[in-house]
Amino acid sequence: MKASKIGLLILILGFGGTVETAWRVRNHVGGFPRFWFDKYGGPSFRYENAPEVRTVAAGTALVIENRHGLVSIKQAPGSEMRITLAKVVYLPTDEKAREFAARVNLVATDQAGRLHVTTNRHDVENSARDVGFETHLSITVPPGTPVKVDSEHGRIEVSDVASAELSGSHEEIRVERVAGPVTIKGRHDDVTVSTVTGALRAEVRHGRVEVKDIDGAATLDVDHGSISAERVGGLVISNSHGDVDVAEVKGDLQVVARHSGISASRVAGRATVETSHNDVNLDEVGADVSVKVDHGGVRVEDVTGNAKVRTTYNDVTLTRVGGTTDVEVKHGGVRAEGLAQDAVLRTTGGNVEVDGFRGRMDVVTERAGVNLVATAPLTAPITVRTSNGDVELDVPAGSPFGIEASARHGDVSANVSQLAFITNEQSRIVGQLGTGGPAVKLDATHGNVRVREKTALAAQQNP
Amino acid sequence: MAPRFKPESLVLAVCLIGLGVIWTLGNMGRIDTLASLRTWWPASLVLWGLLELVRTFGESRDRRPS
Repeated sequence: MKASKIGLLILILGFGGTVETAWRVRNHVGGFPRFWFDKYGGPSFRYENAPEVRTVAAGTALVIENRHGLVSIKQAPGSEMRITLAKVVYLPTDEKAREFAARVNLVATDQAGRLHVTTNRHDVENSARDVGFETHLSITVPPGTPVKVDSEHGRIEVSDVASAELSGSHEEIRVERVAGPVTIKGRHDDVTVSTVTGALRAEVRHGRVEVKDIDGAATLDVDHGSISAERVGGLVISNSHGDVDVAEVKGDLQVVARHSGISASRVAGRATVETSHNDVNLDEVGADVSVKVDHGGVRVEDVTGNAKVRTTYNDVTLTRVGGTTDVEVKHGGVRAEGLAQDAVLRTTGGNVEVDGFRGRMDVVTERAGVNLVATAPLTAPITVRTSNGDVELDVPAGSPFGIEASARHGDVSANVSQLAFITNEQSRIVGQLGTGGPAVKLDATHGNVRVREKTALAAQQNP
Repeated sequence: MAPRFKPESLVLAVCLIGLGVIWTLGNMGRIDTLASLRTWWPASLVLWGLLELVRTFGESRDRRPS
């Protein structure tokens, strides 16, 4: 027999065997491999029931349970709830699908103070496990209706209701214009919420969360999804593996995150942020700031209150801090500008550079240098201690202060006019400029100490 | 000389056409794809056998002395 005949025989028998096996699996096992003949794949047919209308008392709650289908709730004038069920059946022919769809019905039950709406999906599925079908519920409700929805594998859309308690998965949840509180539990898809008068509480896994215009406080617990929040009364966030972007919080902001980048601006109250393996950016905070980051950088700008920052393996940048500053960095440096009050700065492995400060300055570094530029006459003590790095202090001309500077394994120099030296040695100087003034104590180990007058500095830079 | 008749080529072509037609009708919702394939796949063996018979008779007639 020729090879072509053997090949064709194997092809036909192999194809026939595959078809026979698939047929037996579909008819006798009850499920089916979802690579070709998916239960929710192939031809489908849509049928819509006539709306079911229920007249309800004011404030009657709507409770919905649904699987595999859209739940859409909108407001309409009057005192009626109008419920429309649309069915999509996945069967090969219109005749079979229509016959199957006739078995799927709406189940609406009046209970004390609420209308419970669902379908007989459970019963139908038990008798036909191999047929895929969707049940889409579109409902109009009277004004002021509280809503509760429990849905899986279906999109949820709710607007203009009194309150909303929603649980959904595998499709988006979208909520707009709610007069009271909103509670959401979402899985495996995005959640979008806008214009809520009450408080918002959302717990979301594997989905992005976007909230806007929330008058009350918002509590967002999100894993493996990013968060975007805009114009929120107050905000408490728990997040992992997704970035957080916040704009305009009327109250306090509190974030506890892991593996998340945090960016927030225009926070009226306190901002407390904790994250890891990513950066934190805060702009325009109206009260205190507290930031803790593991393996990430921090940038803080325009803070009215105190700033407390702890981070590792990256740098901290501070600009215009109105209150006190307290920074501790391991394996990173600090760059600061416009520190209005006392500052305590601790670093290892990164330089400290401060341009413009007014209060007491207390700096300790290891394996790094320090550069302080005073833009106004000194009014508070300065203490700097470094190891394996230089100390540079630039003071304005005529600013009275008393100085004691020393360098172990390094040199000390002071180029300040009118500075009267009490001790002037290569590695130690003690002196006084004018009368009174704050004490300046600079100490370097394995580094040099240089004190310069700002005019002298300008002359050095522009000879 | 006319090209030699090859039943397997004809069977393969007809089967491909049949498979495409059934699949298309299935996607259009006119028939159940799997049920139709299961019903009609053995017909390809019948078709092939018939074509082999035609070829055998044809060759024996050609060899008969005129």
